[in-house]
Amino acid sequence: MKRRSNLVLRLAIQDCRTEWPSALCMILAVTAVLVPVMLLLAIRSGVVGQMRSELTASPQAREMSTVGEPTVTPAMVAELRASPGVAFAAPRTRLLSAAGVMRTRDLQKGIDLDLVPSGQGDPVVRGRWQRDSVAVSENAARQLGIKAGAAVVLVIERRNGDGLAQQVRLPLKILDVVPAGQSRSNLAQAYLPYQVIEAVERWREDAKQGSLAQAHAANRADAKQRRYSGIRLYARSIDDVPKVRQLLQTRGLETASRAGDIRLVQRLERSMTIFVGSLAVLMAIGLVVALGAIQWGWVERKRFDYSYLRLLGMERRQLFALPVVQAVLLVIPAIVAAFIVTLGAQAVINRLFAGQVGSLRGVSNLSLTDSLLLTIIAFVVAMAGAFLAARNAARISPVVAIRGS
Amino acid sequence: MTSQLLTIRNSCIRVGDGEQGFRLDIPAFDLQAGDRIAIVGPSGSGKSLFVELLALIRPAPGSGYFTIRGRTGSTLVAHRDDVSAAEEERLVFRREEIGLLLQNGGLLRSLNVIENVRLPARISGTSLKIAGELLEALDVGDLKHRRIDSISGGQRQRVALARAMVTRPSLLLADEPTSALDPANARMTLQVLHEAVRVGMVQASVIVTHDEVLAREMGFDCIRITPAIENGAGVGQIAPRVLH
Repeated sequence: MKRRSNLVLRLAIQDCRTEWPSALCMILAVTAVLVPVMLLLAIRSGVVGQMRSELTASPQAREMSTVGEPTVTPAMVAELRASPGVAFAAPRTRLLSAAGVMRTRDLQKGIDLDLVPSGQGDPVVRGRWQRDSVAVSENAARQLGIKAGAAVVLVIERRNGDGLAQQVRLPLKILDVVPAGQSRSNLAQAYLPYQVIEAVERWREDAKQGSLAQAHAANRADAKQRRYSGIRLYARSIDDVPKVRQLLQTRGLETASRAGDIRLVQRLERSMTIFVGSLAVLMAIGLVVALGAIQWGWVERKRFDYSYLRLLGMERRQLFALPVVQAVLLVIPAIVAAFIVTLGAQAVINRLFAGQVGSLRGVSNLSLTDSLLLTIIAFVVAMAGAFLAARNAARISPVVAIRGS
Repeated sequence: MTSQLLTIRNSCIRVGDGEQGFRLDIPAFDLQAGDRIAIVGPSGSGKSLFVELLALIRPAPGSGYFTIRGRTGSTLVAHRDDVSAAEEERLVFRREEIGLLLQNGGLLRSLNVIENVRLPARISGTSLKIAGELLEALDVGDLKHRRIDSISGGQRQRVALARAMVTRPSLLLADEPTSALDPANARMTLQVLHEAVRVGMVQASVIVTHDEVLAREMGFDCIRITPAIENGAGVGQIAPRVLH
């Protein structure tokens, strides 16, 4: 069986070598059809892909914050966290309560900052959260002159009924410094587990709570009755942002996000995919017809040889396989040539447009996925084109060899 | 001891209809090991049709069977309703037991000399070693790696002869093997076909030829096909050959 398969391959190779002018024409024809589609795909990937990668480079594009101070229930937070499009969600307390002063351990420097609800899984904070962890924005770190690992003190103040100031001091360790650009806000911010910020709010508003620990315990006791003033969340991918935004809207929550930018990129990507896809379909049809015609002619020219092979005892399926194997053999160099030409053209295009199209690194960028897809399509199309010729070959009677003699 | 290779009784092949049609009658045809038969007759008498029958390409009604190396193909010649199954059966039989030599040699341009000779062996899965030996025996051993286009007509015929024998078939069947050759090469070809039987390379050889004189001279037993017109259509009848 293996020897017979080898025979088909051997005959196909020998035939291509002998008929090299025809083989070359076929290779060039396939290359000529593949190159424009490859280039269009490369440009689609280049333009859209770079816009998309700019959006995905920072978690900021996935960040969604509720606008104003809506009422958010713990059930809504739980529902959002369970939603497949949500990567991270933390409830917000009232903005006025979510503030404090952060000091260096030697208390020499101190700054006012906003407290941002965070926790394990927050996309902007790297590292493993501990009980005493806090992350700070780059702005805050710069003002305090600290780095990750530094010890700090968070000072929270409240005024009691007599107007006297009371303080709690929370010794903390810097888990991470959140680079500017990771978040939409460039203010001085401290990222703390939302339970801590909740406790801060409770302690500030309820004079009966003597410490943050007491406030935290009180929060836990009436957890189900808690009401939050918003939610900070991150979608799992930029494609999830519009869906999550819609989900939030159905719950009466308006959000600030980059959904508009994302929708624009998605629309552009969809339009270009449809455009290039339509061209690819036309290319495939054209290629099937062209390859079919070339191979049909090839088999007709070789009618006597095929008949003689049949006369010598080759099976119909082997003769059927011969044009198909030939098609595959010719498509391989055609694909290689198409890649070489496309990559060359891509280099020229990128050089021509360098620095002219916004911040794009390359207008043209043929992706691995598109390359693989095109390669598979080219093979399938070649085999489909060879199908009719193969059927023709399999039907040639051995009588032709005798009558032709 | 001689052994019967082929027996055909009361068979006929029809091609086409009406006045365009042709019928070849084969009342009786026997072939045994050691036979060298030349089927002779004018053009249009149905010689090629007979080759197609013996090459198991065109099934015919009537009774006919090969008995080769203990294998009996009783349905190989006769018509069967199950055409496709019979076709594969005939194909295997042809591949293994029949060597074919055509007028123009039927060599493939895409293969060199040695690969052309090896081709039937590759197709049937038999040994390739004999190919080189046959080329040496036919004095074209030094052409092994030459392209078919680059050798002469006589050399091509020798290569085609080597190819026809490379699977050591039981029956060597040659259709007009000398018609495109000069007298010297024609004589050489028939001599090889005759000698192949003598040395046991093949069990029998059947040739179809116009050249009855040369065939007789080279020791072939000539069987005549007589053409006739019957109701406007062509008819050919092979003289009976019955062995007892």
